[in-house]
Amino acid sequence: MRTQPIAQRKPHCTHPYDTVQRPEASFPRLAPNPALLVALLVGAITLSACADVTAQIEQKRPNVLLVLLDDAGFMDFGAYGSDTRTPNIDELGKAGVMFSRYYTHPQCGPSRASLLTGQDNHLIGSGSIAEVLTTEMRALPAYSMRWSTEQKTIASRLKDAGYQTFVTGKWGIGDIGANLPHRFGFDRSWVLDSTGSSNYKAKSYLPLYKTVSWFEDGEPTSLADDFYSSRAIVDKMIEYLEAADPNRPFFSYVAFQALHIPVQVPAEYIDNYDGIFDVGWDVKRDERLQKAIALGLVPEGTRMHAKPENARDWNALDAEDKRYWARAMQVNAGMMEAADFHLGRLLTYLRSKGQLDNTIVVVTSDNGPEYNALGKTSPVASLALERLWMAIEGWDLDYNNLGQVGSLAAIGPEWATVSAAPFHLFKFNATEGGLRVPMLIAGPSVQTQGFVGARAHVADLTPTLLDAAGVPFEPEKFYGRSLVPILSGEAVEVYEDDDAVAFEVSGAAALYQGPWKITKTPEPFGDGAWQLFNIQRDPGETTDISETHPEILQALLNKYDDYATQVGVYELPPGQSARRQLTVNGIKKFSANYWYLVLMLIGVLSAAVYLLFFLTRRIGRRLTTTLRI
Amino acid sequence: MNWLTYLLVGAPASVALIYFGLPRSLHALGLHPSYAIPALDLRGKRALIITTSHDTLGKTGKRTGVFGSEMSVPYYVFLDANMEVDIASIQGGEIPVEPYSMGWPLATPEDRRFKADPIAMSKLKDSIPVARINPDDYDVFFMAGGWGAAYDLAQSDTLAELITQANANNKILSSVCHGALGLVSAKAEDGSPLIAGRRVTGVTDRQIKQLGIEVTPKHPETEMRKVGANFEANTSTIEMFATHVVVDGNIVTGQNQNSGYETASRVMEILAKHL
Repeated sequence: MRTQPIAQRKPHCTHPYDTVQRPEASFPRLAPNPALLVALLVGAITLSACADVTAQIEQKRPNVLLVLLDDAGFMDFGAYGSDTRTPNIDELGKAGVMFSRYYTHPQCGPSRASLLTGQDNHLIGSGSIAEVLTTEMRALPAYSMRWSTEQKTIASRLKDAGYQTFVTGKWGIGDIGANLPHRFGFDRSWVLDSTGSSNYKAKSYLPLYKTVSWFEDGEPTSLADDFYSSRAIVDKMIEYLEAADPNRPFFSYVAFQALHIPVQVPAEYIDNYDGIFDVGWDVKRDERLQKAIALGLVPEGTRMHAKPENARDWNALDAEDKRYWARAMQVNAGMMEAADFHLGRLLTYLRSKGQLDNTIVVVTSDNGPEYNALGKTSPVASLALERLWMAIEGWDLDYNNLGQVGSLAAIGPEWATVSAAPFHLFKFNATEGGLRVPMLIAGPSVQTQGFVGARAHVADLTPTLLDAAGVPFEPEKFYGRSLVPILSGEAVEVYEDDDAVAFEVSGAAALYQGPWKITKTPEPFGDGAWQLFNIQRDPGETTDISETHPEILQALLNKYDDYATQVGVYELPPGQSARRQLTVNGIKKFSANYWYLVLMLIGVLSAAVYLLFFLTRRIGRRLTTTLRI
Repeated sequence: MNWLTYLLVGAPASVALIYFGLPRSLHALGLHPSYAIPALDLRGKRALIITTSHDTLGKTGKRTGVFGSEMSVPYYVFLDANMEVDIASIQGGEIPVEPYSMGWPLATPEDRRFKADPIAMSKLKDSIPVARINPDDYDVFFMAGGWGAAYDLAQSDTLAELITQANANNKILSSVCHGALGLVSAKAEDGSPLIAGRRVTGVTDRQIKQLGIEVTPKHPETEMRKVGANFEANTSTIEMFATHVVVDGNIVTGQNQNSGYETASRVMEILAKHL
C-alpha cells in the first residue's frame, strides 16, 4: 500500500558501533626506506590497537531498554504537560527526542504485537483482543490470537545479533499462554499473560476471568506476598541484568502494569496529589489544552471536541462524588509517579554499572487511557453483574480504600478525556485520544531535540531499534519504518505526504496520509461512519470535512479498503460491535466461572414461579368455592 | 378449530413462501440475470461511477434517485478486480436512492453488501461533484441510471464536458439504463454528438411506458436516437426482464438494471486488453 521509503534516506548501517565504521586500511603507497619501516612499525602497533578498540566497540553495541506504560494517555507524562511528577521520564525526554505525533493501536494486545514485531497487527493474528471475538472471527488468520513458531520479534532479531534479551511485566499478546516470550527470543522472561490484574496480587480485574497467570521462562509462577507491580517488575529486571554478561549488550523490555485498571498505588503517592484535581475534569481539560499549545504539542488555535455524550459535568456532582473522583485521579497520578520512580531505580542501576550512557531508552504507552470504571459508570445491566462479581471476588470501590489492596479504582470517562487531552476520546477508539500517546527516545546517537512533530507509528519501533543497534534488517519486511533519520537529526519526517498508514482494531479504524486522517468510531462513542479530518490543523477532530472534501475522503477510503483487504480485516456486520461482543462473551464466561450461582439463581426463580402459580391456583379455588356458596 | 390451525400454519407459510420465493421468481423471470464475471486483476486501474443527484419524481412528490443495483453491481465488479472505484454525482454530496431498489424483493447481493459496507456507504453519502472530477484521473466512467437520472444527466453541461474530455483521452465510457443520458450531450473530437453513428443501448421507451414513468423529462431511447445513435435493445413481454449490452469501441452500454454485471464485465475485458 505504501510507497518505498524516502529516496534521500541513507541506509542506516553506518551506526557508530558498527564495525564497518572502523578505520579501514587505506594505506599510503610508500617506497621501502628506514623511515618507512619505522612508520610501518608504528602503523602496525596502531593497527593492532585499533583492532583491540574495534573488538571493544563491537562488544559495546548499544543496549536497548524498551519501557511500556499501560493505558497512559497523551498527557500523562510530566514532560507532556501532566500534573503528574515523572522526573526520570522527563529527563530522558529532554535529553533525547519526544514525539508529539506517535500513533499506536487503540487496544493493548494488537499494540504490543506490532510494537515487538514491526508488523501490522492483522498479519500476525492480532487483529483484535481475544475478549471481543466472535466465532467467525476466530476462524480467520487475522484473528487467530496465536503466533507461528517462526514469528520473529525484536527480541529474537537482537538475540541473533548477540544480545541478551529480557522481559518483565505485562505480556498480553493473543490467547493466554499461547505466545509466551520464551518462545519468541527472550532469554529470560517474567510476565503477566493477561490484559491486566490487581497490582498487589495475581487477581483478575474482569468478570471474564477467574484467575490471572504469571509465567517465568514459560512456567507458571507465583508472586511474593509484598508484590507491588511497578516495584516488582523493575526488581526482576535488575535481577536479570545483574546475572547478565556485562560484556554483551542487552535488550530489556519493561512492561509496567501502570496505569491499567485497577489504578493502585501505596497511599503516600496518592496523598502527594491532594488538592490537585479538586477543580474537576472540566477545568483540568481546558488547562491541559493550554499546556499542550504552550509546549507546541498542538498548533495555536486548536479546539477540543466536546466531551462524550454521557460524560458528567464536574459541577453537577455532589460534594461526595467530587471527593471520590478527585481522589481516583490522584491514584492515577500517584501510580504514574511510582512507575517513574521505579524506572528511575533501574536507570540508576544501569548508571552504576556504567551501562546507561550506552543504552537506547524508549518510553511509551500501548494505547490511550482507559475510560471504563467497573461498578461505577457502566450501563445499568452490566453494573448489576459487575457489582455481584465484585462482591463475590472481594473488590471494593470505597473512598477510604481507593488505590489500595482490593480497590477496583478507575478514573472513568471524564478524567480519561483529561489524560488524553487535548484529543477526542480514549482507549478502544481510533480517535486521536485512543491512538496518539507519548513516546520518547534517548541514548547514544540520539540528538537532543525536545518535541518533534514527525509522524511515527508503533510498528516503526522494531525497525528503529534494529537500525539504532546497527543490526542489519530488510526494511521492506516491516510495516513500520526506521525513525533513526529523525533521531539523528538527519530528517524531519520519514513518511512523505502520499505515504499512508492504517490502523484497525475491532471496527475502530483510522488511516493517516499527509495532513489527512479518516477514521471511524464504533458505538457507543460513534456511529461507525467514516469521517475526514485535517489532523494537522484540527487535532481535536472537531470538524468532519468529508462533505467539503469528498475526493480526498474517497481517495483515502480506497487506500484503507486496499489495506483492509490485504491484511484481512473482518468488518463487523451492522448491529454488531466489539462492545456488544464483550458483553456477550462476558456473560458466557461469567456463567461458566460461576455456574453454581447461575444454577442457584435458576432454582430461586423456578421456586418463585412455582410459588406464584401455587398461590394463584389456591386463591382461584377459594374464590370459586366462595362464589358457589 | 380447523380454521385456526390453517391460519396459524398457513399464514406464516405463505409469508415465508412470498418472502423467499418472490425474489427468486423475479430472478428466474429475468431480473438481474446471473453473468459469469471474468476473474481479472486490474490493480492500478480506476473507475468512476457517476449518478444522479435528483431525488423527486416530477411534481408527484414521490422520491426517486439512482437505482441501487446500477451503482452497487459495477462498484463491486470493479472493486473485486482490485480496481479503485470512486462515486460521483451531478451535484455531489448524498446521493438519493430509488426507494425499495436496494431492498426486498429487488435487492441484489451487491445491494446488501453495499448497505453493510461503511466505505461504500460513505462514498454514497459524500459523493464527489462531477465539477471536481479530473478526466485524466480515471480509466472508466460508468454512468448509473434510475429515474432521477432523467432529470439531470443529459441536462448537465459539466457532465457533458467531462465525458467529452474523457472520450478525447480515449477513456472507457459506459452506462446502464437511464445512465445513457450522460452520453447524449457529450461531443466527439470533431464536435459532432459523441454517439452519432455509434451502436448503443439504454432503457427503452417501451419499458418506460410499461412502468408508467413517462412523466420523466428525458427518455434514453428517444434522446439517443435524436442525436443519431444506432440504438439497439432486446425486448420482452415485460420489458424490465430484457437485457442487452453493446460494445462499440470505447463505449460500453447496457440496456437496463439487468445489464450491470455484463456491462461492467465487458468494460473490464477492454481494460485487460490494454494492460
